Amino acid sequence: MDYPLIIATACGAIALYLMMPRGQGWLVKLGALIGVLALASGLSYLTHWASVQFPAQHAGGPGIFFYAFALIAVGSAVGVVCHPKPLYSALYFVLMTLAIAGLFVLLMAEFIAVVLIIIYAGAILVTYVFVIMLASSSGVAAAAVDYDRISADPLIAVLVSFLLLGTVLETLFTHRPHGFIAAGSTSLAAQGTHWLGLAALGKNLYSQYTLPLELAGVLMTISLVGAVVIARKNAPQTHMLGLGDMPAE
Amino acid sequence: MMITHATSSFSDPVLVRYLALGAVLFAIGLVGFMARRNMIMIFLSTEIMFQGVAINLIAFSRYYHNADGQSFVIFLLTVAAAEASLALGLVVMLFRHRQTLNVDAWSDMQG
Amino acid sequence: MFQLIQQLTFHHKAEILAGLIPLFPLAAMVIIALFGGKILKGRAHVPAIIGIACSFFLAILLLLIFDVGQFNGIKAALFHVTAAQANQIGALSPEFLQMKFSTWISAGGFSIPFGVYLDPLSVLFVSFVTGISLLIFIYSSGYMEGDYGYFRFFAYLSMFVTAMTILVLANNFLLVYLGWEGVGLASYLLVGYYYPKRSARDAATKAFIVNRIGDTCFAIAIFMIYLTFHSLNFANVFYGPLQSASFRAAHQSMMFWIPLLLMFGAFAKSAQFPLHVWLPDAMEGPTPVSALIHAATMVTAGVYLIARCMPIFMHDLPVLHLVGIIGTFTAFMAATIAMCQYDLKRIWAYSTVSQLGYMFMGLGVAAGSAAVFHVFTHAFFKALLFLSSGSVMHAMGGELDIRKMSGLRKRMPITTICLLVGALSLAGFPGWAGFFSKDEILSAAMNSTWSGGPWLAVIGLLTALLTAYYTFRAFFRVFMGDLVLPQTAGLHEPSAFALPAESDHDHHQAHGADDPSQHGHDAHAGHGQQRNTSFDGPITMWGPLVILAIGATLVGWLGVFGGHGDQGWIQSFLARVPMNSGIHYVPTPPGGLFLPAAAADRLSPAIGMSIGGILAVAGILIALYFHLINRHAAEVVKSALRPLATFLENKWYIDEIYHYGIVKPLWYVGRMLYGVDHLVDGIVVNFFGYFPQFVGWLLKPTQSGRLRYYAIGMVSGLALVILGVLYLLR
Repeated sequence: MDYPLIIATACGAIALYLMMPRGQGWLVKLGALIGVLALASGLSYLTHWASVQFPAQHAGGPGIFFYAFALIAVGSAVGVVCHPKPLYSALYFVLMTLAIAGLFVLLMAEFIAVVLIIIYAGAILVTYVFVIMLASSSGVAAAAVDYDRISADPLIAVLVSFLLLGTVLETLFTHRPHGFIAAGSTSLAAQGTHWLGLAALGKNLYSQYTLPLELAGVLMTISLVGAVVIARKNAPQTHMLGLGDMPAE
Repeated sequence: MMITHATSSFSDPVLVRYLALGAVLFAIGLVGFMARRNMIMIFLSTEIMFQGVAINLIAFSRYYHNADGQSFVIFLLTVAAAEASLALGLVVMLFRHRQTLNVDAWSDMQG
Repeated sequence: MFQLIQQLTFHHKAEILAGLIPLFPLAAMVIIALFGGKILKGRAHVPAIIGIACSFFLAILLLLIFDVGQFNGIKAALFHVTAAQANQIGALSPEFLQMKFSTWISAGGFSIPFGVYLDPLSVLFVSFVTGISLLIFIYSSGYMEGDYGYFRFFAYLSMFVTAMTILVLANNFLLVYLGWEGVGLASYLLVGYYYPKRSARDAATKAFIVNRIGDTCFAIAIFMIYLTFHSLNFANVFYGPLQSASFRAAHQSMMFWIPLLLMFGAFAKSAQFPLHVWLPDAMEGPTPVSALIHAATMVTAGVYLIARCMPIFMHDLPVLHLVGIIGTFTAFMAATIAMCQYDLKRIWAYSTVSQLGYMFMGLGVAAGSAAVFHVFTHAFFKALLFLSSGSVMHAMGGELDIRKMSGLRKRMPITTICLLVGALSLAGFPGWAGFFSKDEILSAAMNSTWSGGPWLAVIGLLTALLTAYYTFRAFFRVFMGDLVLPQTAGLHEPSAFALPAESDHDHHQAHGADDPSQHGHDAHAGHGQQRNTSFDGPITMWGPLVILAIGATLVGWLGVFGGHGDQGWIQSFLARVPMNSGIHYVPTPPGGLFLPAAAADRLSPAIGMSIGGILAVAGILIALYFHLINRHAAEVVKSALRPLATFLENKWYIDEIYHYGIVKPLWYVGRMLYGVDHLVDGIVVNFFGYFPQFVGWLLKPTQSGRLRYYAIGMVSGLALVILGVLYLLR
């Protein structure tokens, strides 16, 4: 594993550890600083790595938009995880969703980008906000409750997570299995450069994945019913077995 | 080089960057999942992890010029929506029982 | 479609009709089970009654189709044919009809169809099963009104009728077994219907376990039949290689074991001597259940099975004779027990066991028609007796002890008359149903060429005397004499589902009435205004009683008139079923199976009838003296015969014998094995047991119930695996 990558990952870990909510503001600022450092070193490593590994394609970098969206996404994800008030976390999450939708546009998956915004930012997040308002008696204005203000075992969590992240990055950058990228290049070349549009997605969904699509519909229905059943306030103490009095032993 | 259009600029290093970004998001979500104590926050963290996975899928879809990845993301969104509705219903129910969102309050539910 | 139906022959129509019969109760059951609790509620009896009525109608059509020229006018009108054609319908019928509707099980060469097998036997069974069921369903709608789980009751009843019709219509042994188990299950559920009552639960379990013994025997018999005949279809078994003497010689042991095991199967279902213990306890179920399942229909399934398998039994006379001997013994034993019981329903339960014994006696002397005739009449009068007793129970607030009530005729006139009719039939009073059918059996036994037959007949006649006595003992005690009502009279029967507080209340009320002499007085003082009302119950309850009473009066005459020659309708109807050897039973000669003996050898039926009639009247008169005219004398006689009475009151100590002879020894064996087991456990197993315990103790802290530690464990494990793959396995 390359040392710069290790350092970048470690910096990220330390930054996230420092930023986890524990009720001390200055640590967060320090963490943010280290996080910026980590991101910067990561980016520089990326540039370096690309020039070493793929000298021919160096010119075709991902462009400024990728970096911009990626920074926003990572930053707001950290915000989600680290903000002691759930409502702010939810708002950060919206920001992250928007950034990721931007990335999807860059990846020429406009439909998915739109759907992501509609479903996540529109539906799921609204539900979250509702539940946050409903379930926390305090709401926005009041101070964050104890279990929000102080996170549990941030050190172990960060260590384990970043161990996994390091492993994955290691796989990506140094121990790349061979067939993975070479085969992709040829297949890409063979298929030409036509734009993979919404039509292709639709065709794919309704031919290859018809049954899973139907099952997804069933799943939605079931979860709808389930949510209603769960959320009912007074589940009836059923007299399902019959009429008259309940039996007494 | 055959590929000369704008679309062709999606090359291996670019793919790897997207994958790395997905991994980073996943890891951040994981940290949140483990370290936060608020049940709602735990679920929100899993959503971050979902998005990290979605980025991977879309990037591969773009890379292989294949709509499968996008289809998977559609299913992923479906499952995420279903999960969110059920999970939040459960959270509300649990909150009604003990007036707290602290996940550790329910550690007595071990099997 | 209509043309297609027109083109079908009559027999095809009959088969299709028969296939529909079990479907109506099945549909009713499904409907009630699905919608009973929420939608139907108190109206749950409606689908059940409609379903059973449809089945009954179809069964009557079948009966007409198989009838041999007695109801030509009805047939002509019903089927749109001329009278001459109508006459042909029955006469042209082959010995049996069978039709396969679909395949149930198919595996290689083994194939079990869903099919019907129609012959006079199955048609007669299905028609009286559905007919009696219809009446009892109607009765139940009044009797069970407002009980907890009303719809459940009707769902079970419909399920029972479904299974019972499958049992009698099936065209192969496995399908019979399906019905057999189905009725067993329905019986279990219905006996345990008042499941909060411990005694009801125990009775249900007992019925189920005792039946299991018979079911196992039956199942083994089915396996053997398949091994021997390579088929389970009735037609293939009865009309196939069984007819050839060489085949029988080749399968000699099978030809012994198959009927023997079938016999035990039948004995468990029909409550015969070694396995009869479940039936009296099964009276814990609601009374309509006792009437329908444990008196009129299900318990006759064993008779049906043996009658149906008579071609097999005919080839193994010792087993057939054993059937007769055990049947006769059971008849006698149960009659003696019934003499000393005080619970009205138990008296009828033992009389059921006794009457079933008669049926097996008839089968044992190869008089299948007589046995089935008795099944038929017994269904009427026993259902009548039970339902009348149910009315008494209903009116007396659940009290059935005949010592605590008397003179009820003044309060329940209709019930009294109906029960009297039933009692006359059961006692075999000349002119009523039981007289004719019992006489058929007895004269068949008397005329049997088997030397044991006349002995059976003698015991049967003695039993007839006892039957008349115990029947009228109950009748005179309960309905005649001075009016005495139990304390609970007029109250609603205390439901087993009543809330504790409520049942305490009932208990308290009943408590003040330990002394029987005070009952009437107390009752008048306590519930004066209620006493003036009639206790006969709603029309849904006494209506079926009246119909059954008319039936019990009339069906007996079917055995006298309406047939060919000097036969009764029922004899000529059943003549085509291979279960008789005429009145005379001749051991199988090499040439043929069913040889009627010369008429000259026969004991005149008139003599047999008059003996039976005289004994019945004598029994009634004895009962009249001891239980109406001079009740005190009964006590004197009883104390004089104290040991015998105790013996009978305790039902020949058979339950105790089972308990100390089988249950206890098994328990001790179990204890012993447990001890051995414990030893092995302590030394060997525990050693291995403590090791995981130790490991578990080590790992216990990881199961904290906190989600995040599980996640941490999972993720770090995943990371380690990936790292391992990357660095170790490269």
